[in-house]
Amino acid sequence: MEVLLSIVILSGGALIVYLIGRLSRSRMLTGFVAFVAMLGSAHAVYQVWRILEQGEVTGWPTAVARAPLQSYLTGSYLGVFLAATALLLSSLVAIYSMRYMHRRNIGKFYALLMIMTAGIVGVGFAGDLFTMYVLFEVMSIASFVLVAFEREEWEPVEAGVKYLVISTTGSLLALLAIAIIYSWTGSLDLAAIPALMGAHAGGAQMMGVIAMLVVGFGVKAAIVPMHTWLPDAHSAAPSGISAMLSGIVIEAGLITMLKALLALGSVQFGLLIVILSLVTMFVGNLIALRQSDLKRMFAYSSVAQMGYIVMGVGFALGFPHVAGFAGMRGALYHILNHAIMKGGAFLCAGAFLYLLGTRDMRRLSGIGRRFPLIGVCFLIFALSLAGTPPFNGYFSKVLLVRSGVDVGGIGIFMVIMLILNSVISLFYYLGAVNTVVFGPVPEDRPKTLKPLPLMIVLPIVVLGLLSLLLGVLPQIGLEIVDPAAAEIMALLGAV
Amino acid sequence: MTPYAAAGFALVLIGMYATITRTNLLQIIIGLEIMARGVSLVFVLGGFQTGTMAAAQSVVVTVILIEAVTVAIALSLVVASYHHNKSLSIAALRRLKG
Repeated sequence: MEVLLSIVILSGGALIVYLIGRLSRSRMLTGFVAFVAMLGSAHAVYQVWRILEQGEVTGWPTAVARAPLQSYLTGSYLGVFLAATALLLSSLVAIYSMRYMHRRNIGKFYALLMIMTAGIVGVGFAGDLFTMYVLFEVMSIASFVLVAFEREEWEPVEAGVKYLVISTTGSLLALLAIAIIYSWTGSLDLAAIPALMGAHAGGAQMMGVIAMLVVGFGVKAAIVPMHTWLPDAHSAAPSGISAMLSGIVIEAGLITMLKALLALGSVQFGLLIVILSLVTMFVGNLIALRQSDLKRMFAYSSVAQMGYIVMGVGFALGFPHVAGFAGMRGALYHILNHAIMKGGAFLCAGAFLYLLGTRDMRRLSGIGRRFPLIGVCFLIFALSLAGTPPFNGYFSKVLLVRSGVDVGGIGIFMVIMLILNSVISLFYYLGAVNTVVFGPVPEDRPKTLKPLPLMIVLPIVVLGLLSLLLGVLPQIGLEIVDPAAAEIMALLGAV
Repeated sequence: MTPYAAAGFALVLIGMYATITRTNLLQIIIGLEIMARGVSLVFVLGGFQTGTMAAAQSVVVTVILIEAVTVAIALSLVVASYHHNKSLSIAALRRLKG
């Protein structure tokens, strides 16, 4: 029941928020109602966590009341983890957008933000393949509209069209894979499918289905070479939405892929995913090096960071008994950390865009000194993304490195590549900090800038503090990451 | 593979071919729709083969609904794109690079 509630509060709240935005035309009121609804959903998610901690099962409809083949939601630690990360980021984005967005269409904006969050929460809790697909599409459709939200300008529209066509092609491929699994087993239940696979398990057709799932959901997870939509969409979207897209939507795509692959109960594709992750991190980092647009640079850095996360997932799937738990734990912790640090970085870029109306790093030169609080937070996020201690990105990278060492052989090779990539990424992160915070102020910049509203500063500072807190006391994050990782590894038969 | 499944896969391939090779935005969206119809056919076939037709029907109706929403949004983006570029060709959508 609580599982259903966590989604219904968001999707039902979206209707109310839309009406409030339409009638009151107040950004503060609309944003506040959206924020309260997100807190309500977070409370429901917390209840799910409490029930799971007591060793009980929760879901809707419950296993007893369920008809055969009925679609259902089920409470799981993985779902709690994804929902908590999504709600943390989206509630901060709700505060941020109160002053960042224009007054026009504000109801539509918050309603779509809530529907997108509902989709992410639902993907984590989905109990069967089709419910997962439907909620994945709910998330995708809301994100198409949000990317192209400012449709008076050409850039978001162009990015939105590309995103929609590429993403829909991907989801249809994944749906075809689901349809094939259904025609083999007659079931869509994630928990029941492995036992029903029978003669199909491990065959050549199975490899085709796996390939379709990896490509289909990999489009959303921005695994190279399916990443081409990401830099356009993430840099053209409103900054709060860029933070959501980079921080949690692409990760939700990866978790959807992971859940679908786990249902097949087969592990021969781990090595393929490790190789994809290697390509992903190199492509992301090398292209990010030559970007002059701040948001575009962070978008490519998201591709690289997805490479690190996918590497951990690859270790867990490919070597479940040797390094499974360590790899999955590193990957999930990096998802949480990436939401905090990349979300914060995009919100900083948005604050600069709000002040100066440009994303070009040369024109932003020295702005971080003018607003020291934002400048310091920007520094924290950049260092954390590069993996420097004592910030949160460091700890999850250490977990990933440790799992690679456990794997040995190819694992050691991947660890060396990961460290090499971290060094490459330092060049552009420090380059950005050097320009934006410490660079000279251009002469044509107006002497008086508009003041930065508290509602824009507050979420950035909260994320900056969280980044520091999780770096110094990483065990706080492990509280929520470890059960989720253990749950996945139990499905793979390696605890 | 039964002829029905072959028809479903053929539709998906035709749709994907159209999406990849066409340069007109409307034709690309029609390609997506053809893909979706192919997938629906495979679902109906799956329900028929495994004797769970009721579930397959509800799935297909939901897929149609999702596709309708996606296409509505796609078309509204195409209209916005046409206002900006005065063209339906994807050649006009090449300004974002790098």
